[in-house]
Amino acid sequence: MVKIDTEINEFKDEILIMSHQVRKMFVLAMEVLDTGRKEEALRIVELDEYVNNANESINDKAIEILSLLAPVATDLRVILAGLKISTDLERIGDYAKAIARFVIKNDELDERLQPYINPIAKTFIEFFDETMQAYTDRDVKKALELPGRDDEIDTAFKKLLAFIEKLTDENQQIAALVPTIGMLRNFERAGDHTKNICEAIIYEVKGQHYDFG
Amino acid sequence: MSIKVNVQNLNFYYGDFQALKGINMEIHENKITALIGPSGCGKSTFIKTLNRMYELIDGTKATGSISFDGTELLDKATDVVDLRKRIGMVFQKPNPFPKSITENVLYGVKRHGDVPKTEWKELLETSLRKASLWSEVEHKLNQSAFSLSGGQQQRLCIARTLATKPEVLLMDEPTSALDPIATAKIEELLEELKKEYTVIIVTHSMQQAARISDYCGFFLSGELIEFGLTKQLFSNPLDQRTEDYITGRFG
Repeated sequence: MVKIDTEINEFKDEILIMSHQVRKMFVLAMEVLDTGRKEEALRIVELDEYVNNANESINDKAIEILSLLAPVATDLRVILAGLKISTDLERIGDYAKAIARFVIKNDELDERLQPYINPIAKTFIEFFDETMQAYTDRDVKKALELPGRDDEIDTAFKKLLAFIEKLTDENQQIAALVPTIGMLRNFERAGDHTKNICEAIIYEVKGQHYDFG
Repeated sequence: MSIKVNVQNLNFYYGDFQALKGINMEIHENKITALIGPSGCGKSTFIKTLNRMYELIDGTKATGSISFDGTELLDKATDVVDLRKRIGMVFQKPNPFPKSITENVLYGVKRHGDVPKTEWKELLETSLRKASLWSEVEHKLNQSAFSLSGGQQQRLCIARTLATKPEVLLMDEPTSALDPIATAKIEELLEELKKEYTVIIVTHSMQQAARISDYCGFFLSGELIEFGLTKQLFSNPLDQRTEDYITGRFG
């Protein structure tokens, strides 16, 4: 194995470790939305610090590889794609932190919303897992298909909005629910960044630019 | 964009050994074309065919076609002296003649005898300026070329080539014997020279090829494996062998 192989393997490992932490943040976010346990939510905020540091460490590693080993072709694309993915993971982590902050600041969620939250969160985590698996496997076919899962998150979110509309029609009080809806948008945005990761996988493997919107 | 040299199905033999196999390449005018590949792959042989330098070696034979501005370069009727004036060459190691700086630059001009003596002085200055050497040597033009540093000697050899007013410059690893600063000066010079000349450079430094060339060709075992825009070849090569070579995983 040439030196650049070792360095690139370490670089990709750092990204995968970072992605595990981001995933953990979202799983915890899903739990605290259910339980309302503020001390668990605080753990998410702590994990975000770790994720931010990981992003910086990945940037440093990329600079080291670029300056010392002057990668070209696939090697270069692995680094460029890795930098994009790392930035997206950092942003996804921020959305989990935003959910945690909401739980810390607010009392328990309106129980009428609970049945709608779980499908949104669950779909996102599945989408995220499959995307990171495609990254590990350098699976372009998967990376092309997966952004369709983002539509599932949007559909689940629309169901929630339809429910809110129904409450309005029934003249029920919904003002208290507005911040919760805003908080849930974090899943939608995290889904958008996961789509970006799919684009980066395609670029890494094929050298082609894709825009899933 | 015009094609200065069009190589079609070029085969080259040293005796029974076939050193180039069916090479096709379009060399663009006013661009830098870099040729890369492992030792013995045929890249130096290839540029030697472009000014028929191979004829100096016994038992060599070239077949196919090399069209230079529409003239068939391999045709025996093509005047080889005129050809080498139009397609100049700079070698790996600086090889100034044991003469003064002035005599080195004007050597070819005096031999060819097609520039009036009254224009020599101007030609000397222009050639040295184009080779980015004038300011360093203008006060010692009569000193021996050997008094110059290696990098300066190489630029003097470039000035000597430019004095005969070539259209194409062939360069066979022109910076491999130079330190990084002298190398950077030559690379900077090449950027300037391509405005007036078509440059073909053989280099062992892939980073140099990536830095300076517009087009790049990868040779392997006498075959041209891949040829195209340098930015394409170094970011997303089409052939796995090119990828393996430029990423250092060759063999």
